[in-house]
Formats: sequence, C-alpha cells, structure tokens
Amino acid sequence: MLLKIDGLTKKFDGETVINDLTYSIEGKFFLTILGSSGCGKTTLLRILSGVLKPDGGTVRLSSERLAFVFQDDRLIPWITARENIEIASPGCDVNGYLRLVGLEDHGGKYPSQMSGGMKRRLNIARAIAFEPDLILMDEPFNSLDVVMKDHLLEEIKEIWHERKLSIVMVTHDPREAARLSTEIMLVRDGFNKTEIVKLENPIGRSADDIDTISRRLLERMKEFSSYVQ
Amino acid sequence: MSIFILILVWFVSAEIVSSDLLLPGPVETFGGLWKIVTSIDGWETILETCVKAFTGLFIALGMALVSGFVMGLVEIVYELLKPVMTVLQSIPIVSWLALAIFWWGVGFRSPVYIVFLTLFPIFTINIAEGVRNVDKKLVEMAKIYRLPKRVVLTKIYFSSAFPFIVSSMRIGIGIMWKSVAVAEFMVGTSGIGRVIADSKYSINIVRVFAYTLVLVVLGIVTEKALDFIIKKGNRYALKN
Repeated sequence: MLLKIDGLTKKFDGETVINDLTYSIEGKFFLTILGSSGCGKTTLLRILSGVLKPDGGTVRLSSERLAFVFQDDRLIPWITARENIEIASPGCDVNGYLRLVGLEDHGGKYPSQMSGGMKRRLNIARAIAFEPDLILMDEPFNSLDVVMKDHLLEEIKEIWHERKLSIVMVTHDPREAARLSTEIMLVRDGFNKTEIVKLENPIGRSADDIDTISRRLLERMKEFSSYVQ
Repeated sequence: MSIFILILVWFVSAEIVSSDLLLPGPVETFGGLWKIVTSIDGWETILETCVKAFTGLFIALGMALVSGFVMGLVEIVYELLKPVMTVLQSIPIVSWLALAIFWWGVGFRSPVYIVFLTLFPIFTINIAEGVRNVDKKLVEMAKIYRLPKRVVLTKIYFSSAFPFIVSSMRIGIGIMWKSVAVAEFMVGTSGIGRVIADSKYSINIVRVFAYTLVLVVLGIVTEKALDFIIKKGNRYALKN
C-alpha cells in the first residue's frame, strides 16, 4: 500500500481545516492519526476515501478496495443488521462476521432496535466483510464498553495481521494508538504541526511497551496542546 | 359512536324539515342505497367511477415516480419544474373541466385526465421532496462501498421517499374521489357523478344522497386499504 500526500489543503467556508500537509507511507501499515477532537482528522479520512476533494495539493493512494468505519455508523435504517452487511458484500459469510463482533443473535434487528455499541460493531463488521485492502476508521472504539472495546481491538489487530490489509485510524486515545499502530501521526489543529512516531510491528507488543509508548504519546500530546495556548 | 350521533342529528333534522326534496333522512337514503347495491346498474355505475378514478391515480403515480425522482436527483430539473408543478397544482378543477370538453370531449377520457392532472403535481412535488430529503451521509456510504445504482435507488432513495409517497397518496385519494365525481358530473357520460347530475335534473334528491354516501364509503374503504398497505410496507418507514 502506498499513501502519498503532498501539500494537502482543505478549507470549509474560508476556514482552513488542513493546512499544507505533506506525508507519505508505504508497505503494510497501521497508521494512527492522533489528535484532539475537531482538528481535521475526519476531514483527512474523507479526502482519502475520495468523497471529498482537496482545495490544494495531491493525494495518491494505491488502494483498490477501500472500506470505512464511520464515526456516525451510517447504517441503512430500514434494513436489518444482516442485510446491512449483505448489501455491501453480497455472498459473504454474514454469520461469521456477525459472530466476529458478537452480534450473531441480533442479525434480524433493525438499527433502531440496537444500542450505540451494537451499531458500532455492525459498522465495523460491514467494513471487514467488504474484504478491503485499506480500512479508514474514524474513532472506531468510541461508545463501546471496555470489554467489547478490548475484544474488538484484538480482533482488528489479528485481521490486520492475517490479511493483506492496511489501516488508517483516527483517534484521540493514545492507548489505542500504542496498542495497534506501526506508525503514529500526532497532529495539532489544522495539521499545522505534525509529528511522526514510527513503531515496530504491534503483534506481540508487550503490556510494558504499550504503557511506555502511550505515556510518551500523552506527554507529546500535552506539549502539543500547550503549544496552542 | 360519533357516526351514530351524526346519523341521529341527520334523522332529527330530516324529521323537522320533513321533505325528501330538501333533505332526505337516513331511512330514505339507506333505502336508496339499497336500491343501488341490489341493481346491476348501480354496481356498473360504481365500477365505472372506480375504473376512471384508479386509472387516473395509477397513471399519475407512475409518471410522478419518474418525474419526482428525476426532480429529486437533478438540481437543475428541480429548479425548472418546481414552479411548473406549483402552477399546475394551483389551477382550479373547473378550468381543467372547461378545457377538457374541448380537448378530450365528453366521455371516459376527460374524468381520467382530470384525476391525473389534479394528482400528478401533488405526487411529483412530494416524491421530489422525499428524494431530496435523503440522508446524504448514507449516499456517501453507498459511494464508498460501491453499492450498485439499482440498490442505491431502491434501498436508499426510494425508502427515504416512501413516507412522502404514502402521505401524498393519503391526500391524493381524497382528492381523487372528489375530482372524478365532479368531472363525471360536468363532462362524463357515465359513473356516479353523471348519475348525480341526472338525479338532480329528475329531482331525485334521495338518489343524490345515496350516491354521495357511496362516494363517502369508497373514500373510507380506500383510505383503510391504504393504511393496510402502509402497515405491510412499514419497515420502510422504520427509522432511527
């Protein structure tokens, strides 16, 4: 997988959301974009997905099949959980994917009958069932309870490891970043300041290492925000 | 219960007026109704009106689905056709009637066209609004997951527009019975409206009342039928 961003700029109503971002990454990666809320992370993902055009600069992405885990889930409300997966990936092993996210008993439910956490899991299952070569994930573990979050985090790490798959994840939680990433991009508002942290393969990363990394990330994030003031 | 009070008021008023010419009572009217439903002529009249009404309704709905979707999906078409539809919607039925005699003559066609003309703009505008009301975020999701056009149209756009289609049908069905009866009355050669016109000339007010009752019953029955269909299609209306 190749991702090459060159001088990327995006404005909304005259306000700069992304300012002249240049970055590139290659090979199999799990890139985490780490920053406080409202700093343009979601905008970057939407540009990567192709639904939003940049105002300046270029983005090159070699992905042929891209999936998206939406922060607001975006499930089709008038079809069931099962159909929501089937509609994106006809003929896939729906039961298997429902089981993967612990929804095997809820395939016949409509999104309105599901809790926030269940909808999020369905959203994740839909992305994985699509068999993409790249998944863009926008705060995927928000609104999940601790146990489910831990389970899904490990599952996603496994799937990422087993498949020919790269992931770009957006989050504000340094611990999630520390557990999953091969590379972390720390960002400040408008991508005015970024910092790249390169890591080893997250598979088999020890709890101590994760602690150290997330502590270090948190320190850097604090410095970033004090920089703002 | 309210129906009984209504009939009671009707009965008492008719007793006070005590003239079949001015206000036939419920007994006479139901007698007239009995004559209609026990005669082949009566059923033929009802059937003719139904055929005209539903022909107009289905042509209007079919065409409005196409025009409404195109309007809803293409901004420029919406901007162009919205005022046209508003104008069409504002033209009173009598103007159409006056023109219908010259354009299509008296007979079967005129009432059908009148029903079509009154319903088509209502359906089109409502469907267009329904399509425009679609959740743009779902459309974005469909784009990313490369859902086929057919699926996007049926599972996202049509389902979004479904409640709008239903509500316009609800309005449309009431208007349909009224406009078909008026059209038959003025430019028809058969059907309930025509018979009411004939009854007026022959001063058979009981029959006017009886056929009016038929129209009311038709209106109620079709609305109940629509409710049933909506219940069947309820999953489309199921929203977050």
